[in-house]
Amino acid sequence: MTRAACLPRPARSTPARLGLAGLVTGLVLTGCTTNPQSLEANDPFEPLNRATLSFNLAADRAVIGPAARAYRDGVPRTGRKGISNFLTNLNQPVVFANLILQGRPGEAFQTAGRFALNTVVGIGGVFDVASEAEIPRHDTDFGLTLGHWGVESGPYLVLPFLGPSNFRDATGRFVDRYPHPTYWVDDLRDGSGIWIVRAKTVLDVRVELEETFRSLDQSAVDPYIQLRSVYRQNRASLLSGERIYDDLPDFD
Amino acid sequence: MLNRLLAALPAPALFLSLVFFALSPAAEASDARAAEAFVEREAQRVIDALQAWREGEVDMDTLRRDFRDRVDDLADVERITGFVLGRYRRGADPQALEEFSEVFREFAIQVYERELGHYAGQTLSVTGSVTRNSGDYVVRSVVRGGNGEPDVPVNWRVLVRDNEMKVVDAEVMGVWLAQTQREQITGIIGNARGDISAATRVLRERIERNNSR
Repeated sequence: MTRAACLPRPARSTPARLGLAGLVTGLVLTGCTTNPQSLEANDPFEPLNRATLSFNLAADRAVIGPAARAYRDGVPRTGRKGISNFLTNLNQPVVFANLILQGRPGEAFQTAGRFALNTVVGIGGVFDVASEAEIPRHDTDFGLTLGHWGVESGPYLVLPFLGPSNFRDATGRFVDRYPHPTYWVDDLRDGSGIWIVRAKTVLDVRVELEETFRSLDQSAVDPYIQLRSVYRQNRASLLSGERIYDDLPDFD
Repeated sequence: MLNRLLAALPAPALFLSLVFFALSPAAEASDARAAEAFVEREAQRVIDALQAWREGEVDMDTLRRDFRDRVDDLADVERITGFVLGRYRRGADPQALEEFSEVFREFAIQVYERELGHYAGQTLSVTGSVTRNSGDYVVRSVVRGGNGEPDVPVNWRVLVRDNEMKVVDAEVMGVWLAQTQREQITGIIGNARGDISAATRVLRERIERNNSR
């Protein structure tokens, strides 16, 4: 990918929009690189991505981490588990839609069953009754759906607050908001309720990652590259299905 | 999904893979079942060592010392070091290579020494294997932490050389640890125009920073 590939489309001709376009163009150009290492790793935005990761880590140290620890210490484990179950259940329509698009009707049927059972019997999903009934839980998203249909991942991206991604998966994130129940409830989508759901999700995930943040800090030689490598390998493995390991590198 | 992966790293498998290097003696090569038996046997030794510590039969210093002493004798350091250097291993200055090898091993030992106590109580069950080539196996297993924690699938790359069997890499939720290390190390060396000592310097800084905590 050349530097030209990093340029945004031209802005419209009002002063404010021209100014905004100029700002965005400047940011993107500053964030591009011609470093062969970065281009080989399909990471042409490495300078911008590194800056975004630094911002994310600073935000975590200053706000998110302390908030998550307060949440962990203030809410009993059973309560946190119930919230986690509720949020997971809320995402099941997204999983269902993507399983259908990926041509996996059996797993989609199981997902629908889980959603129905947990919503009704599990009191809105707070109790994971479906797992007690040994109904398998599946997880997928529109980024994987695009990958399933042959869309390449594109350049690596680090999103503000959201973390590692790529062009394909970032697009997937945007699309996945539509089948999510919070989009279909007007009061929730247009009011403060949606931000409460998002904040709870952030805290829930961050508590789970407490040990990981600590270990990454100690074990990574280059935390940025480690996170990029982990993200890419994980996403590739989710797309590949049953592994036969014919693509592993030689050690000699 | 990435959240589950990140929550599982670096343990238990990340830790257990390196401890396997340290605590596993050489095993005679034969076939995939031998590789499975090798992983199962060595996993049990690790679990037993951690359990002995947990029950107070040995202290942490003894556990760490035992771990450190065995790494030099039993880990295939040359092979792993060559792997993480990638293309920069070819034509590298022998002295720079030796220096990097020593520092890389010290860094890895230090990281996993710190994690030792967190993984007492884990159990590992071998569930099968894949034969890639003669002397090249991927052993599948599941690590269980108990306490309602989800099971973590972990796969072990077992290679045979000179009739000895050793683990050279481990995969947790699709992520191969040595490959992740290689990307980091080659990234640093590449940005330094192929200078291996740049990676050695970074590793030393990391060791010093971790020691100061």
